[in-house]
Amino acid sequence: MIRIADVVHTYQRYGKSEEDTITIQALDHVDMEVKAGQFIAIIGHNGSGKSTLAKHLNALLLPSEGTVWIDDMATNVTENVGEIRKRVCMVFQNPDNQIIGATVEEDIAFGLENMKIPTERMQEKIDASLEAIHMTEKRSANPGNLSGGQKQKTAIAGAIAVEPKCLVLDEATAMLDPQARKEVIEIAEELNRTKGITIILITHHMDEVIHADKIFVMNQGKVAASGTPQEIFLQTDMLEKYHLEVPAITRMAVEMVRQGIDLKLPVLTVEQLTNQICRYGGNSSAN
Amino acid sequence: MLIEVEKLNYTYASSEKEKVHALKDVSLNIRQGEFVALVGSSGSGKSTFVRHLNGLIKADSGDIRFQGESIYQKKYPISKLRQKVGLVFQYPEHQLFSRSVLADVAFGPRNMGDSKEEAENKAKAALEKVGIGEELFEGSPYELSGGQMRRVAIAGILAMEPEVLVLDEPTAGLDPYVRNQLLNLLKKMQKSGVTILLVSHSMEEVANYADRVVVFNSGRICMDGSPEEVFADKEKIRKAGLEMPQVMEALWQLKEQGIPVHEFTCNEKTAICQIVDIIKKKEA
Repeated sequence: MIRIADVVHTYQRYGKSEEDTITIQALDHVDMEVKAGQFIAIIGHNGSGKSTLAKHLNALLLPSEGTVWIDDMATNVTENVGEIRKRVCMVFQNPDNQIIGATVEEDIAFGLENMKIPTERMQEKIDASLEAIHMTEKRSANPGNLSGGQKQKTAIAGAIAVEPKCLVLDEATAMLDPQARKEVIEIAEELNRTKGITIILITHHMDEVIHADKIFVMNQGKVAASGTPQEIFLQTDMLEKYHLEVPAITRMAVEMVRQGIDLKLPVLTVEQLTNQICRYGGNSSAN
Repeated sequence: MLIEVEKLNYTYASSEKEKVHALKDVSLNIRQGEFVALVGSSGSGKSTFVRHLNGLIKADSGDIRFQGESIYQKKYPISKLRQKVGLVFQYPEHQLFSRSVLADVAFGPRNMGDSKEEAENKAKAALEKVGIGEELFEGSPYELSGGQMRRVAIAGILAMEPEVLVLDEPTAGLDPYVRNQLLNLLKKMQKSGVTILLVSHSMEEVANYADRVVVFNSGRICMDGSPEEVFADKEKIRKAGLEMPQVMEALWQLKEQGIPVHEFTCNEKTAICQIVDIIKKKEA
């Protein structure tokens, strides 16, 4: 689905004079491969290059060096851009910056109009998108009156209406409260599961990535580590080194192991810890 | 008592037909030097509440007394209040506007009548507190990283040397490292006597940093106490649409499954010791 080969992204930061102008390397020889239907998470601290990388996935940015391939179409070939943007859609961070329709329905229709979908076929696509995000009853609502989570779901509906193969959520949950975050993530997981849409989730919140198929850790424009959640969360020192959050429960389990308690690491959820402790207690009392 | 809030009510119109009763008989006392976390699901009234504290919104009924004086009495110097009660909005970096970092931070004290030199001295002190180095003072605030911009915006409030610092979700969107830096700064300010009111969605943050937690639910305060006291009532927390900090959740689940947990704490180390003790006793 996506192949990123040796991609470098540089840009100029202009100073007061020419000598002050510096070249910044936001992506430093990145290689990455994503298969169709995967749920991928990209994590990394502020300024690690993860959002820059996301913008390369549908040709919002083009590589200074290297190539990004979307289904064997290179993003730096102008004729490919239209098709690439049909296949890879993005949802951004701020819910208030990406909704333009006067109603939820109109907002979803905007993308379809852009894709020159005939009006008679639009309604069914809008209906399907609304259903996918469980917001059918909000179809004529004014987006201004929606909650942050509902706005982000509307943005997702607008993206999936054009039936992309891949949905990129670029810190789309960063401005949401925990309840709304959960709703948006559940929708993403559902779209992945039921419609086979490839999901690329860029986030700071570790609780959102524990079900991903694969996690990429970005640091200073490079992929610093990659692996399954099990593999990544085993490396708590690495996560801390790259200024990433280690969930309290994961940290606690590591400390208990240090104190001689036999636990299977990594522990990603509260249940994983408590179940192990209960079994531990049960076994020893039975002996 | 530093701040006394008595039976505050506030209603606004969400559309032509609908009215929202955002605050219902809210009463709360804040002592000097406290670190209070205000929590609640979206729409519970916590952000509306903090906007009352420096007179940004006026209540329909009820009273707010700052250092014993009602801020609603005629001729109350509301601009002085705004210097003493500094309010940091959500995404404060959206409010940066000056050409240089230093000028942006000095704007507040200048506006309060300080000379350019005085204002810049206060700005420099505030920037030092938030860890922004001198080399960035003359640069544009727009060229900073997200975390730096947030800290510069907060320095703009600190430069006014407020006695109370109210922050509405100051850590939203920050990575964990920058987040902890900011929270440690607040803790340090508390130690120097500044009263901290923190609106937060992160129960982990609340459990680790606040001395007192006030829970809002549908425009009312439904709980008020230490993190241990508040998170001891699992049912009420759930009803308020909130989650437990993971440490507390783990202790609760263990107790429910028959493990003899006796101390409910938000402190990770204490919790670990307790669990390790229980397991080792069972083994022995």
